Amino acid sequence: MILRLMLAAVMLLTPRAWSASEKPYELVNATNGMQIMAIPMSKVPLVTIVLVAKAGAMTELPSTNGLTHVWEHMFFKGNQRLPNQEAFSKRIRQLGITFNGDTSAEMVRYYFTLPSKNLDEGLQFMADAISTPLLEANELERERKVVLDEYDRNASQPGFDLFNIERMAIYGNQEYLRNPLGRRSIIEKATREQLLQIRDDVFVPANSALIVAGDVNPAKLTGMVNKHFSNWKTPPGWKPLSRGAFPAFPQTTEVVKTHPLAQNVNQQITWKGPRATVEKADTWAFDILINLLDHRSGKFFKKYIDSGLTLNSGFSYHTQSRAGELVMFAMTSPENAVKAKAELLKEPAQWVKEGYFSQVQLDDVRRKLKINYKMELNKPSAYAKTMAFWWAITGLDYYDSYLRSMEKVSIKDVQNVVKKYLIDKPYVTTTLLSPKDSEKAKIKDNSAPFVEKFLKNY
Amino acid sequence: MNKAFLANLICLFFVALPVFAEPSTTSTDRKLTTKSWLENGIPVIARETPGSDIVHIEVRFMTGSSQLPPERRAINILGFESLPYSTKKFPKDKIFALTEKYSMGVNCSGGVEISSCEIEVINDYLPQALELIMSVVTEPSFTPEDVELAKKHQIAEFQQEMQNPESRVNSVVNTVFYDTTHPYRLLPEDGIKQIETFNAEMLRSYYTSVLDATSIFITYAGPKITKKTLAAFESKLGKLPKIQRQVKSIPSPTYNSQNYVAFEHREIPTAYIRAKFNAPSATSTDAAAAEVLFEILSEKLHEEVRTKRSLSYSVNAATVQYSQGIGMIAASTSKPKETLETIAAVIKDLRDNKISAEDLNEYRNVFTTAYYLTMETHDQLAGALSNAQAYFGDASIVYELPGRIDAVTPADIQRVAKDVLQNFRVGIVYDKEKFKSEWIKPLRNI
Repeated sequence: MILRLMLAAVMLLTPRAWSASEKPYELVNATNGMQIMAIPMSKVPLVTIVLVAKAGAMTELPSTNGLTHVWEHMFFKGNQRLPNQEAFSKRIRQLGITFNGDTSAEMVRYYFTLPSKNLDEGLQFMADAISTPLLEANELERERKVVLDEYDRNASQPGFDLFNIERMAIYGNQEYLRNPLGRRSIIEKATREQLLQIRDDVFVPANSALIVAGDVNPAKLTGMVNKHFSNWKTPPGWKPLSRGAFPAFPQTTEVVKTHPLAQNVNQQITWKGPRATVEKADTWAFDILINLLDHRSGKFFKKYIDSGLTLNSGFSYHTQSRAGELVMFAMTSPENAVKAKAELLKEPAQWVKEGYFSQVQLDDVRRKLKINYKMELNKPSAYAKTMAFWWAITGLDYYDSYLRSMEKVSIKDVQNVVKKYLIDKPYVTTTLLSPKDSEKAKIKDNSAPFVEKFLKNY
Repeated sequence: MNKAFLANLICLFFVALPVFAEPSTTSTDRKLTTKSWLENGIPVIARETPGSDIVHIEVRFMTGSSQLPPERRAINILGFESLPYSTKKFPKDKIFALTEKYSMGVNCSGGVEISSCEIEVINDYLPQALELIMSVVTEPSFTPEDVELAKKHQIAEFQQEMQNPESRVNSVVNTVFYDTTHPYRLLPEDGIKQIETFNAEMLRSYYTSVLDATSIFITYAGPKITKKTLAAFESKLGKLPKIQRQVKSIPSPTYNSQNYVAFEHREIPTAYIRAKFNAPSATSTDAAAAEVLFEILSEKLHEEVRTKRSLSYSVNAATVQYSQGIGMIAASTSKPKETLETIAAVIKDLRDNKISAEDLNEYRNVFTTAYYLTMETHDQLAGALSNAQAYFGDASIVYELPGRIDAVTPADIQRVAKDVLQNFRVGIVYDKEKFKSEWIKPLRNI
């Protein structure tokens, strides 16, 4: 299963919708309390079914970090109707299903695409998997090894240790809440009982939505969903899990780590950012800022990309409900690394100056967001997953009002959030480069104390 | 009921129709696809996508790095990468302003056998997009500044390829899959060295040599193509000369039993394994059977290696169908010995035993879903049509694929398996202390 680790490039999802009357989806409640979203787009004779739950690292404990991801893997094992892996795989082939799943800090998604003529059977397949998993101990033993290999693939990337150090530096003893991959030692010892507890805590209808996009008739969908999912119920007295607040953002911290396999110099500067469910308007302003910085007639693009000072650079904000990170990133040659970082750190102060961004650029960005929305709708199999993201992370009100809200964001609003979150605010920087480039760039590896503090027992 | 009211009612009815009112099927797809020619013979394949105002245009060049001598192969990549930086009509700043104003992406890429320039835009801005892509293709500037910047970007891309073990293992196996002169061989290290030597004049000269009406075609996916759009193609691409470039045929990669394993040491916790072997080409009569075979192989590897034995998170098989076909099996694992043994057993089973008709039908179902998943968007549609046009001279062949897949029999699968699943060349990226070369023997002994 794909685990959204977001090691280097932070995924930026930007919600787009026109107005309430033009919503591309229909939303109703199933009899078991789960929300059903239908997105009819009859382009090819396929439907994509996504089951999403508000779960992930954010609903784990230090002792269960990474086990929501293990549970995600177990979803694709046997259930009461298809009691073993062979029966499960055979049914997948019979129905022509391509499938996958992903686990992130705040969301778990399972998704299938199959011929639309098999929609009813596909819904039953999904319902059986979520409502009657067997979670057999021998299956867990087998799947544990697969999850550990996935972990090791991540650990084979040169940036893996630095990525972990950065998260630990920012979130302190709450870091596990932002780490969907979890800890190897915890995955090695995961028990069936722990997984059953996770299931009861978060994989319940009241915490989930079913999204169906493609060649689907919304009028018929609700009945089909109720038929198959009615036995999956939310336990009486269930409440969403609430974990503690994150510690204050640390003082400015700079970490440089060398790795013999690193190519080029990868630098990242991270500030504390807004949470999409709390500081909504600030997230909109940052989305505009990101697009303004990407504008190829803009000053940022010309200075850092068109000039060749960096090989790639930009600003990103990954929309999340419980934490926000604002990230400036750059990949450079060793020769330009020091200069690029120094200049990038001075950037936010430039962004608030008169004339840095123009009204023409702002108009272009707004037009681009509307066009991007059309392009998103053009791929139902991906759009279903996108809608699952917005349902789980921000709620659909945020999504529905997005473009209208973006129309109202002014350059002044952008400058205000830059002042509020970036200028004179603490940040954490990370630099990954090879020992050879470290010498060339005169950037010294200072990671030893961080490794000692954070990774010694990791 | 007066006529105006009736007309309004009809309009309302049509406005209310959902995007792409009827799901696509191969027969409706075919009706929506047309082919015409510019005066100099350049084919224009147009696929109508009713109900959508997105337009995707590709200009495809039947040329790539495989047509170049080993020491110059990267010039095709760099040349195409540099094309959209600036043109005679559109200096860089103008391109930036235009693409931002109309949110249109123009990209060019140089491939192994086929290279292309593409643009995607909302129909309202099609005139601007046409003007831009025609200028990019027919009058690129190749200024020294642009070329230097493109060089930096391309070198960085090769370097990133070397950093990631997943892409690195592909280069490692290529050192034994292709001999040093094979036209498909271009290792990132060689690419970097070559790119450092190229300059603007060299790129201009190379690009002029491939701007040949006899090896170019256009693919359009969007609202019904208009005379105006065809006229825009005619005004620029219709004027290109017919050079009739000689196209070199590509030999099959040869197997050398003394040199079929390549290893690169990395102290990493999981081994990256990649095996490559010869497979049917795009135009082979076995191409459809090979597509199904690789679907079956991939599913069986997943089942035996991952599901039953938990040896790997990621194991799969795939085929690339150029004018020579390439088969590939890839896995990551901390138990390479057992994984290689299991891969060999799956291959032996496919070679020795005929799959049942029932099982074949089931695998076909999954393949059909995957087929339609590659037809959702305008760029995917245009890409599929372009590939068919490139290899068959007939874009509509793409719609025949489901029928050709249906015609594949269990005997076809076994025959192609016996023919294809052999002579593996293997690349490994892993810690040398944890790996023994004898573990590769099961693949050799098939």
